[in-house]
Amino acid sequence: MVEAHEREHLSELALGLLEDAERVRVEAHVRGCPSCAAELSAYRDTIEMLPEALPSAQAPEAAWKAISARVRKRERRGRAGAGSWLGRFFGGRALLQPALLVVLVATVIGLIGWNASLQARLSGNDDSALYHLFDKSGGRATVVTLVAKPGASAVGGRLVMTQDRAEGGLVVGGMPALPAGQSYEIWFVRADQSRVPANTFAVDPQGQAVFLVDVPQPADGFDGVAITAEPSGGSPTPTGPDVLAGLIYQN
Amino acid sequence: MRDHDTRHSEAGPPDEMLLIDVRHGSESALRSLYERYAALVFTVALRIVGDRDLAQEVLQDVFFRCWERAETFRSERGQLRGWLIGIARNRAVDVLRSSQHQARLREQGSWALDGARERSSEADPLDRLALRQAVRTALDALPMVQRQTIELAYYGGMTQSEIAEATATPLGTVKTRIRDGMQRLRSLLRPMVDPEHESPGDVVDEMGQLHG
Repeated sequence: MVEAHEREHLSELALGLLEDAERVRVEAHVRGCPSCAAELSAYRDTIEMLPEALPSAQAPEAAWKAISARVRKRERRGRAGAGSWLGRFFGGRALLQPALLVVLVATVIGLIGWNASLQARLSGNDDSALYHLFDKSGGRATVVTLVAKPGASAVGGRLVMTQDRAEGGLVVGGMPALPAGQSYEIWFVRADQSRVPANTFAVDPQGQAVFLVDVPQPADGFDGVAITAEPSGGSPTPTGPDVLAGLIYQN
Repeated sequence: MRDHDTRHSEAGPPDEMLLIDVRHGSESALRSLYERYAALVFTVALRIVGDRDLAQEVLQDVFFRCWERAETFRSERGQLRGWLIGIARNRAVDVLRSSQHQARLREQGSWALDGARERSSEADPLDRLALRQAVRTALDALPMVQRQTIELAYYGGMTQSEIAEATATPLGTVKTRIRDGMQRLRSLLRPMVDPEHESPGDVVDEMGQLHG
């Protein structure tokens, strides 16, 4: 039996005007009805525009200071138990997102199961090289979260740099295998979108890699990092789309 | 990395990327989102609660919630801008209904909306100005009773029954005004929601023709 559409209630649902029982019924219908879902989405988009008609008010200067103070107070409370280097590596937040959790697992696996090339890059057989980056920065290392571009199958990664940005280390997970003759390449991106190449690297069969990065010097002036797939040996300029990208924030 | 397809790509990093960094503890990313949306959130809050101090409290709550609960944002349900406005509206309506707010309004004698002054339009990108003009034109196109009913629901946080009582209007009439008004708004603003449907310039022209 075809359920009757709920179009006459969609605008009320979008405005939050339906009583509980009616709201539950309409929402249940919308979940199984693409046309009503699209119509509801259009109403929500319309409602989101309504504030544009208001005379715009300037937010009070004091508001950001209050927000920042609350954030820092909350972070101090949330830092308990985040003493491990992995905890700091992933930002010290209590809850990890699924994608980052995958990266975390990939990191652990990667740290346990070094392949030969990674061992060579790290000049050691444990995680001391990456830990060293945090240690040298007195807890003020720069951490760049790398996320997959829409449609890309990579999971993500993190680049950590010492406070002076002279040294860096990268961990990535879920990277797609590349065809023969290709490797991944790291780019440091300036505000004008020009790019400076850093390392090329391969990933293991699980799509993971952990290694030290040759941060281009001087490192000032870069506001992002990207990873592309390039011909083996690297390319002077990117020839493919970004697989992962992230912004560098000042700590 | 700056070529993601968002409405704000011309002004800096995409919202989604900033929010990911907020999730992972970047106060700088939160600050960037604040600079992008604080005025809008404050404007909505001020319109609802009618008091600058309370609106500031709402503003602070919205961005602290963004920090604490960034993982609850679902991009498939809309844009970050709408998510923040939704939080602001809900929080402001809660404040509006609180006894503390009612007492403050009694002291003031009226809603203090004079805090909302038009900012210089020179700071706004052209597409934002076009959107603002389109929304105002669309709202002006509604019959006054439809517009008032929608604004009482959205900014006043009133149920349809409450609107019916406050305006001495039958409940069925209130519902009809909401539906007809929203349908009309959606139709007028559709090209702004879906740019491929029609260019923004066409929208303004069309609405200008409708109400010229």
